[in-house]
Amino acid sequence: MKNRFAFVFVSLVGVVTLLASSITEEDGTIDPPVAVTVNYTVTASTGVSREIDIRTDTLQTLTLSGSYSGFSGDGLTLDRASVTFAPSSEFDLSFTSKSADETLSGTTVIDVTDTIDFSLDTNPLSGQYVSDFDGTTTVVTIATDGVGIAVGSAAAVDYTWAEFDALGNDTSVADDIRAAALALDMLDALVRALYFAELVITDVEANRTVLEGSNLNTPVAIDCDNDATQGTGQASLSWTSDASGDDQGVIGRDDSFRGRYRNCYVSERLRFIEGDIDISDYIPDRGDGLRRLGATVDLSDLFVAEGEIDFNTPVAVDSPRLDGRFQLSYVENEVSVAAD
Amino acid sequence: MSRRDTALFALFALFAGALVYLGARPDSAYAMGGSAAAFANLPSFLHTVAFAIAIALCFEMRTARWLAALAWGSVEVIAELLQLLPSPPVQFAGFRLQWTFDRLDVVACVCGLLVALLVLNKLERE
Repeated sequence: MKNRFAFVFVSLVGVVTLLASSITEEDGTIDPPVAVTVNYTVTASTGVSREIDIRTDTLQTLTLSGSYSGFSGDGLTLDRASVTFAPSSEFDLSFTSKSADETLSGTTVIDVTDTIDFSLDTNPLSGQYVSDFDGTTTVVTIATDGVGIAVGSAAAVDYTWAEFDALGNDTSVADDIRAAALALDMLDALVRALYFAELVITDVEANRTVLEGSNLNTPVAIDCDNDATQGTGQASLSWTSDASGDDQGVIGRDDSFRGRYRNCYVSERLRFIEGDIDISDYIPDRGDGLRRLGATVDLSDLFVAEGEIDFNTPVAVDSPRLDGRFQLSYVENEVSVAAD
Repeated sequence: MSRRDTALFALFALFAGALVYLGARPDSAYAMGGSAAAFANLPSFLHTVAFAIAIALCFEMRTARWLAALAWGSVEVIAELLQLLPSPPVQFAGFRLQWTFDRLDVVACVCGLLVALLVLNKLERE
């Protein structure tokens, strides 16, 4: 042979290019990634409440909406670097006092007036919303280094993020400022719960075969990420109802599930969770073409904490627990390409 | 035709095949149908021409060259025939790993092999 190296090299290149051109070859049905815009909405008509020792805060008539760009086939999720809530977003937040020390009571109406660039574990980057509480309008403007709050016609007062975070439960602060501050705090709690609801959905899809092989309402153990220093963590998943229709007998549209957690550490969220998350009206984001993911999420005494939750002790009444129902809907829309 | 010219011919065939594959094939060749669809099998033809010649040129003896070209042509045809098997439900880098057998690709491979043998024959004569 004149040149063994050349032979090996040319043969390898030939085989690799042959495979590369063949294995994605569909002869008319080549399927490159399709650019999509995912429109999402989170709604809660009946309300999501968070109870602490002195007060219960309840989100009602909630509509959060926004969109992000991606490719068809990517997971439909709001677990992204940041989530934006568009100016069409709005909700009511009502406060029910449980203590004589708590003066905040009533309902504030929140309207997002400039897209909120929202994220967890980091402060929001930008955006603006208006809180209408007891006839007083408070404008909250978000910047990277803090928040400006303008009450009525007064000039805006700037707060650092640490100051802003403390406003909501400071009974010495004016109620309209507290109401405005609690709105963002409650939004943070809701989005955090939303991510755990997505976790249930992810676990359902990852355990489809096991769930389908089990009877309804038979819990299947799910792994928690607790290490040796984080106590015992438990989680289970149940397929609670199998809707009639074409996919009866297998996990599919309109089915229901329950995720149950006890001191379960979720490493990707850096949080422990305890409580129940029920998923119903499920619309799985499977199949080809433009997809949709939908679910109704019910939270029952969901407690999220940075530290370990005592496994044998019920969550204390002053621990912020979430109860209530919200709906998720993520819809892919193909991005139209302008003609040349 | 010199050895250098033969190698350049193979390189040109490979380049042309890549251009057709990257430029015309994914979006327009099939959708347009008719004459454009004819380009659909051109990459198989050019790939066979290019690599049959390139591999043959790695050998000095005439018989070895012809056998190498024939062997490569067989690889191309077998690779196409393997596409009769069902595709796996797998995605890679956003593309679904899916193939479809096309008998015209087999014809294109055989034609490519014949052209390669003709070129090699021309090289031997000169």
